[in-house]
Amino acid sequence: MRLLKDLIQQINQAKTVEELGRFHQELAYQLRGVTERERIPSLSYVLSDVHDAIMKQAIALAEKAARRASVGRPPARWCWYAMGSIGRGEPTVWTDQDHGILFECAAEAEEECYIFIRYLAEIGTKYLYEMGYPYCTGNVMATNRRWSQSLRHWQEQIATYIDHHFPDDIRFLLIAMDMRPIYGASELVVEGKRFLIDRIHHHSLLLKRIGEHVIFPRVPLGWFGNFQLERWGPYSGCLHLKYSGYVQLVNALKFLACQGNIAAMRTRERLEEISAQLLLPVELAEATREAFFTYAYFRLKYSLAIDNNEYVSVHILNRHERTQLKQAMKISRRLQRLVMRRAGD
Amino acid sequence: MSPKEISLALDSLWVMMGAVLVIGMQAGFALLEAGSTRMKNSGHVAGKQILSFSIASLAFWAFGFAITFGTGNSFIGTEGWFLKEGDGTFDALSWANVPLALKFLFQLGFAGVSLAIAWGGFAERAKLAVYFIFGTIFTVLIYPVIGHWVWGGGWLGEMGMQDFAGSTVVHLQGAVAALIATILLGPRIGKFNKDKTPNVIPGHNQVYTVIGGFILWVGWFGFNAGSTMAVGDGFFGYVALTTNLAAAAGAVAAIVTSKIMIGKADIPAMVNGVLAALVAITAACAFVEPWAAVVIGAVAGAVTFWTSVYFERKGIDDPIYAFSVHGIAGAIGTISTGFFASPRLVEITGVGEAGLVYGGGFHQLIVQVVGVLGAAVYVAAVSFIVLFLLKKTIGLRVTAEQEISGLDISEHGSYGYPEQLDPVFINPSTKSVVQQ
Repeated sequence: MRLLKDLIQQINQAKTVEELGRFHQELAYQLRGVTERERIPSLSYVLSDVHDAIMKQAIALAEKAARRASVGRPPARWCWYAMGSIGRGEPTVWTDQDHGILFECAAEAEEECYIFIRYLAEIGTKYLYEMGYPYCTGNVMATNRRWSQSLRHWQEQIATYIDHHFPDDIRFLLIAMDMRPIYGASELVVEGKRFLIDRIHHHSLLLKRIGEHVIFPRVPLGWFGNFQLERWGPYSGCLHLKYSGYVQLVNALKFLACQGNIAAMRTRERLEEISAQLLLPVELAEATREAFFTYAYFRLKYSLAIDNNEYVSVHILNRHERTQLKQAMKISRRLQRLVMRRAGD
Repeated sequence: MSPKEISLALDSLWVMMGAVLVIGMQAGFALLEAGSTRMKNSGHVAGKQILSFSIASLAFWAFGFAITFGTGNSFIGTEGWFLKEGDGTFDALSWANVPLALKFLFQLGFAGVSLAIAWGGFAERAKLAVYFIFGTIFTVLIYPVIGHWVWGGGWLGEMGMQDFAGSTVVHLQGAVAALIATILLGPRIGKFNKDKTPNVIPGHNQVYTVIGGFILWVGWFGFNAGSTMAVGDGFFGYVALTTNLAAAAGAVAAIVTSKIMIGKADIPAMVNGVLAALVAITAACAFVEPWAAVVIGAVAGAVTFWTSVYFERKGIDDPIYAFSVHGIAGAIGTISTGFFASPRLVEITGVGEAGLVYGGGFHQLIVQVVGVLGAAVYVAAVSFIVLFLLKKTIGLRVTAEQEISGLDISEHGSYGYPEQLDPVFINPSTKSVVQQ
């Protein structure tokens, strides 16, 4: 753990993209052999901090490069934010890019400002890729205008998602709920997120639609507590870790956060506030905490594997791990059922 | 008409109806198998059912029926070639009060079904010539031998083996041949990845699969209830009842098992559950009480879904899961009477003894297990020798190019779905030529 904290110090001193890429590699190296389940709660905090530090330095370098290039007009205030697992404060070692930029600019200069932001996004995204963060296959990146806008436009866009009934709207809202400031004027993202959660909270029909979205996919656990494995394809006999209750748990907490008008940034913080508001029974909240760290353990452990992918063969799990994973899956299923009931109310 | 003549007339009519139902099952197999395989092979897969039944008809008439039911020794019948009837030639079937032609027609239906099951293991990659050769040999040297052992006065029948309509004689035999074939043929191109993980090769028409399954379900009333070969005491109704209960339990058990195991209520799995249950109850239908029929059907439906997944993971490409549905279920059904044969029904049928749960001891159970193993070993050995020799001589499998093109075009010269697959019909520039 100490080594990781030292690593953060070193990252903060880094001057080049290559250096930062090496620190990303170093992170993977240092985590080998320290992924015991007991250490996960504290480890995942530090791990999130390491990624934050790398990204901050990367965007700072990108900002310097963008300013040097004198493209467009730098906005008065802007903030690079993360979404996905980094946004939720639960990244593994190798995680893809999910991010965006919110900025504030005089209305007449907005297009000029966007030219700068777009250029910044391109450089930042490229740097991150070179440091070992793969591009997002779903194009949830700052280079996509959907995720890089002035706060005013962004709020209008969110309002559109909320008021219309296109199938992708709920997906975009769930993605946006993960936003967390990384670099720059964080108050823009805090305000944006507050706006988002507040609007959903006061829109009962939308909340119901989000609930209906959250109850899928089903947790792949049979009635007898058996794993429902992939039947066909190259991962036959495997479980897709992400869809084995992890996404379901995270999304259920997003729903509950909206219900409680909680704009907390990270999943852990969300869970604490949900517990504080008694939106979950005390016992289920505690079990959810445990399940969350169990998923963090499996995701971290198997993201370090040589053939890093989202699937894990149940044959390589020991008996204790199987029990832990099944327990976590049961909790995710309970959360989905709870959401189903609440969404139906 | 005297009561005896009336009885003869009614029994004959019933057996004829049974024969039509059982022979009609060929249509069920054609639909089931074609629906469960790809469009490019559909004409071949369905059409070969007619070829298969024709080969079986001729070979069973000439030799198969004599070896099965002709008087002989404990292993084979040696009299009655070409249905030539002499004094005591077909004593093994003397219990049935109908003309020999009807006995033959009805039994031919069974031989045809057994052969149809075997073809499941050959699907989508075997040469047409193999169907001719193996079809003939199966109908002469494989099916009749086990038929004789159990029904023709052979050693298993003497031991009191209970196989009312052929869980072992018909289904297990076909399934073991299918298993040997699928192993010797090897998996279809694209079925397995380099690391041996299986890919899905979905059937092209689930509706065909379902209708095929339903035709088989209805045909099974001829198969099982028809096997009474008499209407006098109405016992055929009871056999039909147990048959239907088992099928229903198999459907429910299979779809529930599928939901539990893979999280999806799989339709083809449900159809296979029905068939597995029908296969299992085939041996037991006249020996077990209705509750036991439900248990047997449910166990067969559930277990065979699991074995389908298991064998696939073990690298066996059984395109329509013939070995699980007919082999595993055949063994389950045959062995089930060792547990569930009720004294009341054993007395009516006059075969074997009561099962374990009725205090009948282990005797019947051991007989049933010996029957299953004996039949499986013989069929496996002879099928292996025949298919291995064919593989080394004419070859079992079409070329990779033919397989990729599909057997419709490569073996028969025309597609089952020309508008979807034939370039002449797909390409508009050549369409005018076709229309001319």
